[in-house]
Amino acid sequence: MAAYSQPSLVKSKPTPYWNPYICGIGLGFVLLLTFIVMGRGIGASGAMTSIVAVGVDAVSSSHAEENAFYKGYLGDGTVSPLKDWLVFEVIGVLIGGFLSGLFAGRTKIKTEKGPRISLNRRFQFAFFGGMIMAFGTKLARGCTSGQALTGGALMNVGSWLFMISLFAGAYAMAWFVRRLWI
Amino acid sequence: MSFTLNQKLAAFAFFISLLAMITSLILPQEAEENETSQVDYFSVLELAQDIRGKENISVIDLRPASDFEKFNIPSSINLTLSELLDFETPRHSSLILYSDNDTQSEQAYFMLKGLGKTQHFVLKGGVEDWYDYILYPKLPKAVTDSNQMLVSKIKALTSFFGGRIEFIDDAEILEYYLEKPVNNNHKGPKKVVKNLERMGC
Amino acid sequence: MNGPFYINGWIGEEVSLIFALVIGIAFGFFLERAGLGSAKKLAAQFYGRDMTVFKMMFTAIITAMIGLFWVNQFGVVDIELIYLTPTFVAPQIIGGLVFGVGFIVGGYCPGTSCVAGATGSLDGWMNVLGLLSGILIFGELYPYLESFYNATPMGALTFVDYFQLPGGVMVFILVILALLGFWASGKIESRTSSPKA
Repeated sequence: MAAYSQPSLVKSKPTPYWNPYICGIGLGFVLLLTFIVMGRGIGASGAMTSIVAVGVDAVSSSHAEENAFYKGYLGDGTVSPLKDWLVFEVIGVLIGGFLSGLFAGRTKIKTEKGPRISLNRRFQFAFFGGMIMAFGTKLARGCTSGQALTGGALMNVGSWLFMISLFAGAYAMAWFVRRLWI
Repeated sequence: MSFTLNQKLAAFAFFISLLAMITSLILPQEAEENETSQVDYFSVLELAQDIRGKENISVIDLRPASDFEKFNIPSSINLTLSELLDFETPRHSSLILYSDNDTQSEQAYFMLKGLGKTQHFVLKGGVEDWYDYILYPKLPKAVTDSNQMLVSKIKALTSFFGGRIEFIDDAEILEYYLEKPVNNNHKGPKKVVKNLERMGC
Repeated sequence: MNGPFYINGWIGEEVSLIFALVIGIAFGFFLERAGLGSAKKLAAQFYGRDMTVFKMMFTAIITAMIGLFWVNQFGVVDIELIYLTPTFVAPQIIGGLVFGVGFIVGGYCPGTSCVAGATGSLDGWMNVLGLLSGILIFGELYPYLESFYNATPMGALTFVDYFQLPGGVMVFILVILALLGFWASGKIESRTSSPKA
């Protein structure tokens, strides 16, 4: 705790990360503002689903039309499915993440991995991890942003069940994949 | 004794939420209704006006197909319960459910509610009330001034739907139209229909 | 002043999309600032070495929760109009477990993978690609999964409805739990880092 409370002014290469509680409060206010202005929460995976649905629709629109899952994201065709709140929000996330990284000197082409695995293995696991996560997120109707953060703040029962299961699943799996990270 | 920033923040969170607890214990809460066990009703009069006014509603008949073919409410669609669960509600539209009696429509109401849908209503009295109070209503011969509007509204609706009015000597008969369907709260935020499924993540 | 502004028709579609972009920028900024654009930092959460994920997530949750209580109390916003994702017990528990497994295998969650990608992490982009393909597979299998997806519905349900407690009491309980969690995570961090280092 104490380590974070003393902001280091030493401008070594990348600036240190901010106090997680301060960032949390910042994020909490962003979420609160979204509730007040939009009457909804934030999200991330929903935008990715819109992209997938648009892709499927472009390849075969009859196929997308038959599937209730894609249809929910394609709407009635009067507006482009990409002209969507979450899609714009995620574009913002990319910009915001980039800007913060840029100011802190953390933007460079790199790969984050544990010391004991190869670059290729890391890419494979990053890909498969994403695939597994997509399943979880769609099954639960939301991800860490849409369910855990948003629903958590709204005291939504299903969101808290999701959040607890998320931590349980990750802690349970952590031991088996420890070679990936430590 | 000095505190770190984190300790100060934690103390602030503690006090402001303690204050929240005290506030909500002291201040009289608005009558907390148990929303989960409440049904939103639509009266036959409202339905008749909405159909006539071409409001954005989808009327669902839950009775067997044979009954539906014999008689139904104009613009209604005949669906079984399982078809109803797959039914794609048109955008910005409300669902009005009806059947012979309220029990079956209420069952359907709760199934839809379980799916997270909000814009659906039970037609109070079902098809029987529609028949008795819209198509073949009994109206008093003598009408007080205050009820004049209501009676002419019913007359217009009956003729619009091709029914017939019977005039009788009972002034009480209008009571049915005047009493509001219980737990009717669909006058509230009706705009919230905006494709709710997409509001999630 | 009557919120939510969008639902009450104070702002239109176009403005809401610009607002989305601004909210997204702030969201991405804070995630990156805290270090959640780094897979190693995210994964360290699950080896007890760095509790940033937990700290930030629950700070954000209680901040928004307390804030929402007060703005609702002062009539700035009608809490009842805010969209609640309906609760489906079984798919959300299973979904959470699956998500957790994917999280530790891939090292990111959907939001943080975007942040990682934006700061140049190639594994972040791989994770995004994995997510997109996973969503495609889910979509293709949806007709078979649909019955489970819609299983055990409970509708839009909050703790306030479930426990029949006044909102402020529930807020206080959750804040206390979070503060205890923060205290514990400080302990865990000092135990795992100091003796080894």
